[in-house]
Amino acid sequence: MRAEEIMNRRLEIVDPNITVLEVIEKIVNKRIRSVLVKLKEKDYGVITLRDIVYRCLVRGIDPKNLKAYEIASKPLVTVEKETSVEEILAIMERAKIGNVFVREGDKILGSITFMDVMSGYLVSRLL
Amino acid sequence: MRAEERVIENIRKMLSLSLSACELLQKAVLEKNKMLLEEVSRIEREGDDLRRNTARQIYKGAFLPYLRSNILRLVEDVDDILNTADKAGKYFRKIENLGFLENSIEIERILELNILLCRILSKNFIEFFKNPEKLGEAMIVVRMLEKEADNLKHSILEDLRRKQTDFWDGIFTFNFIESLEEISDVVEDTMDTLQVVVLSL
Repeated sequence: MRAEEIMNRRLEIVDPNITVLEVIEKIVNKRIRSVLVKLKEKDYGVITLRDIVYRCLVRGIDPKNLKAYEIASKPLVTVEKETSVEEILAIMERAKIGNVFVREGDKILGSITFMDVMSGYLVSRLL
Repeated sequence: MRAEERVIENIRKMLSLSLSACELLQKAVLEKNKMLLEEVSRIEREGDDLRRNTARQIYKGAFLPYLRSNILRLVEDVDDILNTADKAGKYFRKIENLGFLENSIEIERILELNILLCRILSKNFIEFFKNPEKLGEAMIVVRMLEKEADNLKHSILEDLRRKQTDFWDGIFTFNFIESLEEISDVVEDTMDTLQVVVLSL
């Protein structure tokens, strides 16, 4: 299996100056697990639930008083769309992350989480 | 062919029709080609014929009496997949402003998920009777994909409520999205019924 076959093409891109509370609202309303933060042209960071919990809530910071760019992880860990799932899993393990982004040149096409990998494997066993 | 085999073969044909209906629905929506939806309706009617024929076979005595109600329910669930695909197509036909489709990766994904779900069911249907463990595994996958479709629907509706649109287009678009997602719900129901049938055999 290759990255483009299992990637999730839904990408939510947010402004870097919105508050973390607004990011939480977006994640809850859109039922997603992460958002991309557009820092500059073609320069993105990512906010996952992990970032929200560890960089804001656990530290007792009011999510209304923190901006998205302040907790975004960067640079993005990206792979080419032809990358094999085995390689992606090795990258995730090495970098201790649960989310990689799939690119084609400069363009971000989608993201892959462990859930996407699991779903891809299970579906392929039935088809 | 025994009456029981005829019933199973009819259900398999209905599942195959469901897959065709979902593929056509995808093509019609992505190409904004409403003419193709006539074919979805035709497939739905073909499914109705098969459902009636199967019900007759069961009435004539296929399967032991204690199994018949669940087998009939399975037939009706599969028929419901076809009805729901047709219903989604009918709502889509009534929408005049198709602007909401622009860049809608989420609608494309629900269409893909419906096809994937029907393909899983159609391809493995006979195998499920011989291998209940595989059915158990498929049920997990179907639940996972159905949940994804449900999440996508909520996300689409969240975006839609911020868009200005004509009253009737708003209603038909909402009903279209609801019906599109409902296909995955019905496939999940079909799997549940199938599990009861397989366990009872």
